[in-house]
Amino acid sequence: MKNRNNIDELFREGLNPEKDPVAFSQSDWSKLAQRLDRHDKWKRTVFRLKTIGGIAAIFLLAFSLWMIWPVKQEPSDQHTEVQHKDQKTQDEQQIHRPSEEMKTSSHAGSDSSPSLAYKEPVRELPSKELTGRKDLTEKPAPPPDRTWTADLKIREALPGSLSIPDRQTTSKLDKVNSSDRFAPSAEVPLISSAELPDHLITPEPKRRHQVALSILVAPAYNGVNNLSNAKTGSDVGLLLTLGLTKNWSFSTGAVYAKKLYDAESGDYNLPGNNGSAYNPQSIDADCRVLDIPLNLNYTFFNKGKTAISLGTGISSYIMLKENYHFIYANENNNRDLELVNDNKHWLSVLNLQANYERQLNSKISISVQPYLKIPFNDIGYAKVRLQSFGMALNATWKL
Amino acid sequence: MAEKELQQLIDGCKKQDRQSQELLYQRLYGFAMKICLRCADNRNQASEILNEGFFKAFTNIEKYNNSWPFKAWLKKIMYNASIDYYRANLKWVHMEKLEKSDYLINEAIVEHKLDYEDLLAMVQRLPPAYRIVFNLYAIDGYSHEEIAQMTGISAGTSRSNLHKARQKLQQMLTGPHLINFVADI
Repeated sequence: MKNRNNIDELFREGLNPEKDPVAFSQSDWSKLAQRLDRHDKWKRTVFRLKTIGGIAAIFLLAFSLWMIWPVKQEPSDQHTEVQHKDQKTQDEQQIHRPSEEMKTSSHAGSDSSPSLAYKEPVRELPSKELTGRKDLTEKPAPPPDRTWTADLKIREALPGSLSIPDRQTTSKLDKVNSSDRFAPSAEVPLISSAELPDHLITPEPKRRHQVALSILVAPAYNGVNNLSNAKTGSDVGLLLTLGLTKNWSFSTGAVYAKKLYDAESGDYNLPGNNGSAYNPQSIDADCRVLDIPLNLNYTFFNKGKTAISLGTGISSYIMLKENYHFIYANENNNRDLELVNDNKHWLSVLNLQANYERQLNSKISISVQPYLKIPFNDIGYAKVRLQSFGMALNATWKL
Repeated sequence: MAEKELQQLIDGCKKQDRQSQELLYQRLYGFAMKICLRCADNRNQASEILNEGFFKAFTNIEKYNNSWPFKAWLKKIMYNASIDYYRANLKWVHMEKLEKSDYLINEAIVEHKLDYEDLLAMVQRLPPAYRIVFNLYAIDGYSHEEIAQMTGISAGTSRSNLHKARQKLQQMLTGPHLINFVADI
């Protein structure tokens, strides 16, 4: 028997029949059609989310700019001073009016009108001065501007029986003299903060809330080994911040990151790579990553509405989807690879960030946060040192 | 399928038209299934690989350009889908020295005219790593360098796995059941 045919020929001829060996299966198509429908629906949902997110980000930015745009406002202490001056002027006018009336009356009397007699002048003191204590428990309504000068003028205007006692004398009193309606009580402060009108009360500085929820959007540069050939991606996510002490806080959350990058030969380490000279020349990657950060933040500047902090921490990367386009010297050999939920890198990325926060009101603040992410290990199927640099815009609601 | 009809269907698929996708799927089902059956363990896995390949083709159809034939592009996608499908199970063999062999088989076996099903069954019995290299080299004529690029292995590893595949197939062809069968002729 002759041994003239080899195995390759036998199988090549036998496994390439002219007629299709398998008939078309409608069930196979049905399965594929369902998968394509799900894929189209997912694409539409992602598109809508991106559109909504983009519009929301624009509105948020516009709203934030509108809130922090400088608006001229009169300071509250100047307003108070004006009120005091008005009241003071009003008081002085009312005090002088009786004098004028007195002069008028005397002048009228000198007109040799026998019917006119000296009349007791009508004392039109400020109502607050006249309102005396009806009983010992009623506290006197303090004049808005009870100064020595005002007291002197009041004393001059009043008859002697109604003169206001000197402060010095008054302060030595242990008990309230019921006959002296204007003597202040040593036991009751003349003015308490509870009686002061709101505009005179200095608001206490508000403490930062303990728990806050933030939304962030960020453009980011992603590159391998360095950022010189970085490509632009984007991050969007939710963060929860817990205040630990006055200056320290802890934050975590979930950030959906679109990481696009290029890797040249030498930057990656594909599985099964035995140093072959026939590895791809470059890789074009599109990775969708769920970034779970654990960060500690320290606020070193906190004055008025502005706070500046620095933070560091560690992130875990869940590679939700990896799309690679392998580019070879012969472009006919170019191929694509898609992986879903194939790689997870727990606590593998170092986070560094700075935060400039501006408080808009008691609940809402916005901040700008440049950040840098540096991996400890190789990331993804291509095993690259994927670094990211971004600038996040945060809107924070204090819960 | 005529070239014009094929181009129309491709244009329809680029617009994500489901009807065009279904027609293209029907037209190329047999061609793609031949590849997937050779790469898979059985019919069910071949269907899964086929659908995975077509899914990638339809969702990346905008990357296809007319510079090379569509069937060649689709064949590559099917092979990539097979490699991805068995990625976890691909145990590549690397041998420093390969024994020289012509891998000749007895003419009696050739004259027995083993049909498609018999040969397919033998290929499907190979380990996935041997099977893929054998299909790419022996059936579709790829070079070891091209196989290395597609699979991420070296050309030497490709040669080693091809050698092992041929050894196994030779054993199957000259196994006891087949020798007895040939002797009956």
